[in-house]
Amino acid sequence: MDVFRNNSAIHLKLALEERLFLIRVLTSIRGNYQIRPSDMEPKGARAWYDTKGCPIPGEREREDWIEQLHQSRSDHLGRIENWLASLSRSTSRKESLALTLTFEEAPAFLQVINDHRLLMVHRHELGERELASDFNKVIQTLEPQRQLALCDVNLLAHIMEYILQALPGSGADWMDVETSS
Amino acid sequence: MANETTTVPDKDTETRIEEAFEKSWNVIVWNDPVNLMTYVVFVFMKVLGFAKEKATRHMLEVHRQGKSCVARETRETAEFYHQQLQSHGLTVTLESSD
Repeated sequence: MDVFRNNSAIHLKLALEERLFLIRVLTSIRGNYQIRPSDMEPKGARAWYDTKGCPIPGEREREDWIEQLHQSRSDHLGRIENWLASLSRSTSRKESLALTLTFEEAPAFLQVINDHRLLMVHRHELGERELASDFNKVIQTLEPQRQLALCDVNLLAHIMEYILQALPGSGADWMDVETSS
Repeated sequence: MANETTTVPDKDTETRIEEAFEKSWNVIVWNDPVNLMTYVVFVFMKVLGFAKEKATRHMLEVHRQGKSCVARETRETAEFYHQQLQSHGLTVTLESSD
């Protein structure tokens, strides 16, 4: 994958496999955003709709809180459709395709793919051991479903890093701040 | 003027008004193994309006000490920040500093 930008947008130049990967992820997240929080399996719901951290007085307020979290995710559905349409444009196997993200929509793209990472981690119970250890070693110890989940989490992390580096004002050069202070 | 009546708010109402405007709610962001350090800086800048230096300082505090208090606000504003940060995938709690 190559990432470059012009005055108003970031362009992700994707090989066929990278395109198919993003289509799979975005299709999955589109489906999960459409599930009502109350219908979501508990592990997934914990990733996105946890209310533990907020001292909410009653059941009604709790439901409102969760509904607002769900709404903020549903708001991305239109954009996800557009990204999927762009990624599904037919090109030959050899031809790469550029997914264009305007500076305005790039933060939403980051939020969406990060949501998939969170969901994978919670659903497949990936913890510090799986996420912080040597990928090549740890992947061999996991069963296939968890292997796939860990691959998604790591691949999307790389894509996020690329986008953050290209996004003006994202603070992605924070290490410069750290080393100069 | 002498005949004018004034309504004195009862003690409970006064307390509730004071609480509503008192910046006594801490918004705490907790470390987690999933979110990228770069992404956390980005979210702090976007949601809380922090400059890069301040966002970086808080992100490193989360990373090294396990948590950082990113805002001390009225309950309403604190809840708004909480929800925004949570919808970006960060682990957040609200604590009353009273």
